Amino acid sequence: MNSSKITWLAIAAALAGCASDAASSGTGREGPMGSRAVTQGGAQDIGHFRAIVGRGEVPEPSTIEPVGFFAEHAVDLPPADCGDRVCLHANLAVAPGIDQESNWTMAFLAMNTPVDPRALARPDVHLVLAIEDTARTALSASDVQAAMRALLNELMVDDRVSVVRIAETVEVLAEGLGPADPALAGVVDRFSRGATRAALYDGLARAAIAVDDVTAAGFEGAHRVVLVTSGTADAGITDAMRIVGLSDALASRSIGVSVVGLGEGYRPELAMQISEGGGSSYYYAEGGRDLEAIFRLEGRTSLYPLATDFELVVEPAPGYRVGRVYGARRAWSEQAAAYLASPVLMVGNRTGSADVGEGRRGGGGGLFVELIVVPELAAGIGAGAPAFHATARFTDAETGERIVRRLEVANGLAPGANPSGMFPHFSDPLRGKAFMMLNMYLSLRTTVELYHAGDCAQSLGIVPAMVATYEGWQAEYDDPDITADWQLLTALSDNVGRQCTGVTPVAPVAPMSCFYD
Amino acid sequence: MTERQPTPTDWTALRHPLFWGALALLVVNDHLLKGSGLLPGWLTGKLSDFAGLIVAPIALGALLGRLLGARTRHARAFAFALVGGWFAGANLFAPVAAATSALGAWLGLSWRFWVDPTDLVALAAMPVAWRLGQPGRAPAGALTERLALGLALAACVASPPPEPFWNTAAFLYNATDEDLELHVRWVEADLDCEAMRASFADALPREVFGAGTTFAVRAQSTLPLDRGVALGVGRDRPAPTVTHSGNCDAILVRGGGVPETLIFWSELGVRVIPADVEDDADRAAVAGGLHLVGGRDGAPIALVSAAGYLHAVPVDVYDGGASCRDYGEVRGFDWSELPRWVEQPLRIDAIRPTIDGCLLLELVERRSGWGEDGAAHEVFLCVPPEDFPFHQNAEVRITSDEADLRIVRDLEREDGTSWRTGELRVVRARGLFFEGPFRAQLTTVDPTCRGERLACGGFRLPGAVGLAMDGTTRYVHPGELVERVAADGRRARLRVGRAESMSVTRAACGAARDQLGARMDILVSYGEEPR
Repeated sequence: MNSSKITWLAIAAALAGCASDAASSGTGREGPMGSRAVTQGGAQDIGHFRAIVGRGEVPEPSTIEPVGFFAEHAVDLPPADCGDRVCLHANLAVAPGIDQESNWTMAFLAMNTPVDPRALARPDVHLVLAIEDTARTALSASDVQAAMRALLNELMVDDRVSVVRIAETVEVLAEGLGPADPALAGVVDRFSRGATRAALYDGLARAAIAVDDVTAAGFEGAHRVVLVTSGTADAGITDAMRIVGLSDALASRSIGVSVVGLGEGYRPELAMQISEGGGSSYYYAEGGRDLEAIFRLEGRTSLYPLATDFELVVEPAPGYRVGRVYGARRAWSEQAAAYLASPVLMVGNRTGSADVGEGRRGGGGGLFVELIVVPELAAGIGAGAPAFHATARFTDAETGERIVRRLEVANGLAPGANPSGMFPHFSDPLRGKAFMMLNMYLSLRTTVELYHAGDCAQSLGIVPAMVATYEGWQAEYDDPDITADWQLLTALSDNVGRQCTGVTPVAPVAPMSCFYD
Repeated sequence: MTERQPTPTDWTALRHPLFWGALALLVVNDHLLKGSGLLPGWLTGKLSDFAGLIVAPIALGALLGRLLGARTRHARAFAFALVGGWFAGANLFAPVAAATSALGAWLGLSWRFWVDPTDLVALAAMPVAWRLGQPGRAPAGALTERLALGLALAACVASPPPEPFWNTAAFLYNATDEDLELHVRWVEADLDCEAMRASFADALPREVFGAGTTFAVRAQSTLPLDRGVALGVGRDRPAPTVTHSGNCDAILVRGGGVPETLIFWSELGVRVIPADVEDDADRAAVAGGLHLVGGRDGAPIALVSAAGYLHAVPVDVYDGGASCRDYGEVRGFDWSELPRWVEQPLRIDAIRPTIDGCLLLELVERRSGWGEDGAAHEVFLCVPPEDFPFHQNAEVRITSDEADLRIVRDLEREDGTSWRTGELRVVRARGLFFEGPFRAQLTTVDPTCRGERLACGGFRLPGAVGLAMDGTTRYVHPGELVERVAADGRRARLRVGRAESMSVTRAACGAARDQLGARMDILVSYGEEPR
């Protein structure tokens, strides 16, 4: 497998929608043993963005996927000792804006779990392979055969496999067969690459019915769907909302949908949304060999649901309103609150060989919510007053109990006040890395946005504006994740410089913070 | 057949007063009027085109006939085709214009051409020129004709470059004394122009604008903002495809000291504006446009817009949607497409609910007259299961297209007439909808709602279905159900799945929301009961 070409958006990840062991974060600092960060489904790194920068180009802004970026980082959280299977943690950072005068107040919410998937018994698994067979995916029978063989080799004798072929209509080629069943070998002959359209909804819905059928036949293990798609739904029911809704409905029954994007004209938008239901992983494969590796990993993967029907609401305290939100594509904001919802939170485990692929796999991530001070409402509010409240609601996947947890986080400074000096104020001073991580994400994103918006001077101004912040942070913490981010940022800025010869950098106007002077 | 030889009678047109008039106009226009400020640039350009298309083909035809000894008619036809073809090509295709300019440069002449399809109107002069060039009886080579030919060739070849101008509805005039680099991003979404006038800043986040292009806009020059004009000039990149409802467009512009600004325009007529503003006539021509002013002595550059233009700072955090409510659960109705050839009766072999509230119908074709089962089909139908009025093994007929699905069950009576025992109609309606006892229309229910931004880049206004009932209007919100008795005595149920209006949409919004305007998903079912 050519790992320099493949975009490993999730392979060898912390098993999407899953958890990573914070103790193995690679930060050089000991994390709370037995706690694992609970991250979102979907992309688990920014390999595609990194590859474009590596080629000396300036990627489009849409290629820097925030969920994937944050998932590359290890973020320390307090121990998961809240007594629930999912623990919510919050932090607040107050720092000057990048202009060193304005105020930047940012909330961070993240979750972890005490559940160790390695200690859980592996359930039998029913994998439904829903594979698009069109000229767009251009999968040959030998591609499918090799991928299926790789998958079947990883399964246990009591596991089950179903295969759904997606073309203009859908066809169930196999249902509930054991991995050694010779009938599975015959399904590859049905792949022809002759279709021009794909009924994506119909294929996914048929996969869901296969789950019901196999359950009805007496199977008692876990189910998972692996969808191979060109990203286009142009036959059958084509409404993207309904397709994503179906994926969410599967996730709410703890059935993850891993998505493998494939094909030259691949369109990632819909495929990524499908994978973000909280269930499984998102991959992009450039061909049959990549598909084979992905199927092998999927065969090794087990997922365990922690919570369903998860909701997080972040409400600003008096004196503040909600601004931008980062870190979760499914989050949305209004002035009164920011929201995040997910049908399921899972923790994952994988058997077999050691980690593969490139990039970092920290498993970090969370929701960042900008708090904007409203001067007329903040008058008279002093230091130590609440800055925001966070409420998490979810159903324990094991007990079925509906759980509500609420946190209140105070600002040690008056609303809008900056800390003395340029070191930020954190409500949890031991765990400020998440905000530095956000700063690095915003630096990368703003650099490409300004470049593609035609503003070379401001784009080139990001690195000079951030260098003191970076050096100050690293002098204190020497974090390898942040070092890697900085190397990526400087490489990107060099690429911009080569495209914008003779341009003098100017100080950017961007919604970022300045941690150090 | 005897071939006609070239005769000394082919230079007649060179003596014609109209030819001389066109030649005089060409010389005077090119060398006196252009740049004098007496006439606007666009007019002098057009005069040159008309005069040139009389002078050039006649002169070239005469020259070819003389030099090549070709037959007169063939030489003339070739000359007209060459001149007309080149002129059309250079005004339609940037590469032809660029090649012409390059040829001029190679010859040491300052030819400059711009693609401008409106110049094709000057081709109307060619039939006149053709008629002038009909063979006459004047001897070739007479002094007058030689003089005319020489002057004509000199006038055509040594023509000064035309004053460049744009044919565009929207434009930006850099009225400052600074050369500016402006980055312009055109909206990549379909807009409802009428709705956008009141809500363009609310409705258009940065994400719906394309990557854009950087333009060098010199001081006292103009930039056309019609995407086809701006992106087509000297560039081979296609304009983004958008289909606005009405005459409008929107851009995001920044750079050169101009802060990022969202600009929307509507109902502007196409006009001719000079590319360079050099005199009072040019300034008059750009009046009423979008002007960049200031910049002197460190003053900030500001945007001044005229009627038809609106501009605003992009709204990062839009909260106007907070007051927008769907007074019910929006769940549109969908169905898989059926094979086109399915027209015969179908037996519902199985009805299976899916986990997202849809139905899988397993259908079997019934062979007419045979009473046997044929091919099987699986169809997904996304309507509330309780609204599906048929049972397993019912024999039905289905007609469908992208916007309308109808399933009926007819039983044959002993007298040969049919009895419609059950019926389901599902529609995606855009305007008024009539079915049985129902008269439905999309209605706005919340006047404080400015619209709701969607993650796909769309902008929607929630609504309800207004049913005209007994002289009043009853509002039926998404998810709600109304029952009435039809004129034929059947009990009819209407349920609303979706009632909204899209004023911004794009492909990412999916099949349910990729069309501008009103959209109602409505089903009407008639239960299986005797009449």
